[in-house]
Amino acid sequence: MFKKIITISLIVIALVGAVVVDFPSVAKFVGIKKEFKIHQGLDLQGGTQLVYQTDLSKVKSADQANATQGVVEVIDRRINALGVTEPVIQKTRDNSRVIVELPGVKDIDAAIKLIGETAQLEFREGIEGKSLKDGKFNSSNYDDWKDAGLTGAHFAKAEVQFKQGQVAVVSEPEIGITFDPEGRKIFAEVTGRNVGKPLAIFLDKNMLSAPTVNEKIDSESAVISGNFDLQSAKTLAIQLNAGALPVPVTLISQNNVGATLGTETVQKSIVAGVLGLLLVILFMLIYYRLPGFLASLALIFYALLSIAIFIAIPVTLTLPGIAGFVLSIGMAIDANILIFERMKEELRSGAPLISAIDTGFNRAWTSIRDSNFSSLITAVILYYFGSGMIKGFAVTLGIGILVSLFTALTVTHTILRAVAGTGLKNKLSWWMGGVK
Amino acid sequence: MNIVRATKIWLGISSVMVVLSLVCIFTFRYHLGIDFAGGTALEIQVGSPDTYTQTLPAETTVSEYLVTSYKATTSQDAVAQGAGASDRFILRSKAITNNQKNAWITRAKAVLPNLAELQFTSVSPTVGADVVRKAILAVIVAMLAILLYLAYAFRKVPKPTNSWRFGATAVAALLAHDVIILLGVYSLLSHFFGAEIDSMFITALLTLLGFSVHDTIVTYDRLRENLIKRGAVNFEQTVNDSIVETITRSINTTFTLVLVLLAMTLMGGRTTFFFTLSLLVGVIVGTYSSIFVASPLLLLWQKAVDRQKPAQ
Repeated sequence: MFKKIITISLIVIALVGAVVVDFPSVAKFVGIKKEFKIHQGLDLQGGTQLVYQTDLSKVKSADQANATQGVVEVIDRRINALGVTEPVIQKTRDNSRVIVELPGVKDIDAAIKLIGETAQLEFREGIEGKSLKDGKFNSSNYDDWKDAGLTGAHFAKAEVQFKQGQVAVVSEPEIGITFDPEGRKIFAEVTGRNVGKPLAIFLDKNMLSAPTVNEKIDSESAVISGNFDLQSAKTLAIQLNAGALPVPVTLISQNNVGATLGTETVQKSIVAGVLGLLLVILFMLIYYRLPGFLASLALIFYALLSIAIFIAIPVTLTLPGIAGFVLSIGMAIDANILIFERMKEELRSGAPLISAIDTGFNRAWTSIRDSNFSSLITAVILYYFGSGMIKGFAVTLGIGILVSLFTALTVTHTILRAVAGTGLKNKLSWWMGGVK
Repeated sequence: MNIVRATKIWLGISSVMVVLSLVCIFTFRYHLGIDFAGGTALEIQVGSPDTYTQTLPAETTVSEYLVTSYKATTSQDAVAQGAGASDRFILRSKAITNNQKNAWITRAKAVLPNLAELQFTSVSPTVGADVVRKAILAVIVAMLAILLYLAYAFRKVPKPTNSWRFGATAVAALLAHDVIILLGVYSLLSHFFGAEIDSMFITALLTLLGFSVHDTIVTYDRLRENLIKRGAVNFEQTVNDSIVETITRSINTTFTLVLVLLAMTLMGGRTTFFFTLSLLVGVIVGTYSSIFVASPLLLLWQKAVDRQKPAQ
């Protein structure tokens, strides 16, 4: 009796919770301020996914995880400066890739430029006979200059400013930088060593400019010029503030989905899902009659509960994810079919209704468990080996299987027993649909 | 109903199907999806014809214009396919960059003023090899995991059979029958309707590995129960009874799946069409093999073992 009360309360709590989470109007009615919403993947809400390959060839294997994590953090800071809402940046387990998801970004070119460049800014000193000839500028080749020990990592801040005292109508943008204390010290030493000679500034091994040092500069601020237009100056300032990427990255895959296409996809999937659900319910009613009706209630409950779980976790729903969920509706009913068939066998052999129900559930359990477990195995493997979209499918399918075990075994069983306790128990033909 | 007696017929049908599938697999070459082979797919909407009748060069169709202007801008050969609606196209080519794509759209807008980009996917060829490797690995791991699980789940099965045979025949029906026939059907879909081998197809394949053993498990579960009840006498009769007793539920569980998959295939849109279609083919083939291949194989195996015993 006690166990029964617990089961029923559990079902009621789950049902109420699912309805509150699933329907915003209900949540509002009961006074919950938090807005529950399905988190849509890029293919549904529109947006851009960029996949970068990290070049780890020069990184020791022990440091690869750190280097790639560094890439993730730097890209995260760069994107934040862009003001994208809810970007997702993650690395793959093997550190070979970094995946960047940008919902609703219009100017993808700018984003690609901002994210993908290493933005390693270096000050380099001249070498007489190579980069310099008689102390004068001679070569813009990176290797003709030597490391001055001062890079973008020594900047405390970088910002776009305009060339002072320029008479031209359009004044040229440049980058104003502020050194951190160590950077200031190194800068003073380097300029002290190179008075009267050019000092080159390279960005990703391309020379930006090579101004000649007039005197030792012991100041925390300096200016970098380099024929910037406003856009490239802004990009560089963001990159310098966010830091250089620890390793170079290459864009290997790109996917932009327009918002129109996403909305269409969502609508089509909902229609397909609802149609599938209705067809299954129709079949269950025709073939299994009363138990089929009760199983259909359980199936609707199953759908509500699964969606609530997707919202609660939250699971990012993609198109394959929706497919996985709709598929799981077709599977969720399978357990009921196995149970009902077993139940009918018991009824045919003359067992009383209640005991036929219980035996049906108990005997069908092993095959339900084993078959669902084999599907869970494949869901786990898909999750482990799959890429983003496929993971979405594996997650909804996996959650679907687990929830369906709960609803088939607990909810259907409880409802069946409850109904069998009423006057309907004498209408045996209602229970024996499909028996020849 | 005596299903087992006609074992040769069932296995004959299956063998013919498998051979035909193998022929198809090796005759027709699969189109590889861009997530496998690399490349670009650009889905666009061109707007209604009266927006471009004036600007489109005479005696040129829209798709011809798309291909020639694409080539002129990106210097890549493209193939233009219709994409569901009459004003939608998908252009496929070797991988191009976002910049090249934008340049082409700007250029084409001069002729097709309402041109709109719906989806742009570009994958470098280097990604493909990795995806293929992972896909093959995933299929092998899934097979082994299911074999091990079935051998474990049926570990208490009584003599004369044993649990490894249960697992092995279930997986054999899966690999030698379901997977090969699905690949065969898909080669036809690929050849005649442009279906592609891509991550979605591999997902369908893996999902089916899990699904297809459902019905086999139901039958084997009943076989185990009957073997415990009746003992080892007349194994053939026991196998047949187990199939007959569970055939309705095998068909019904599949039928509900067929219903949702039909709904998704017909209504779910182009992106998942071949995905749900291959699942549809797969669950039907899988149910056939659960009923007509897996158990008969188990029986044949038992007979072979029985024949060997007196000889020893």
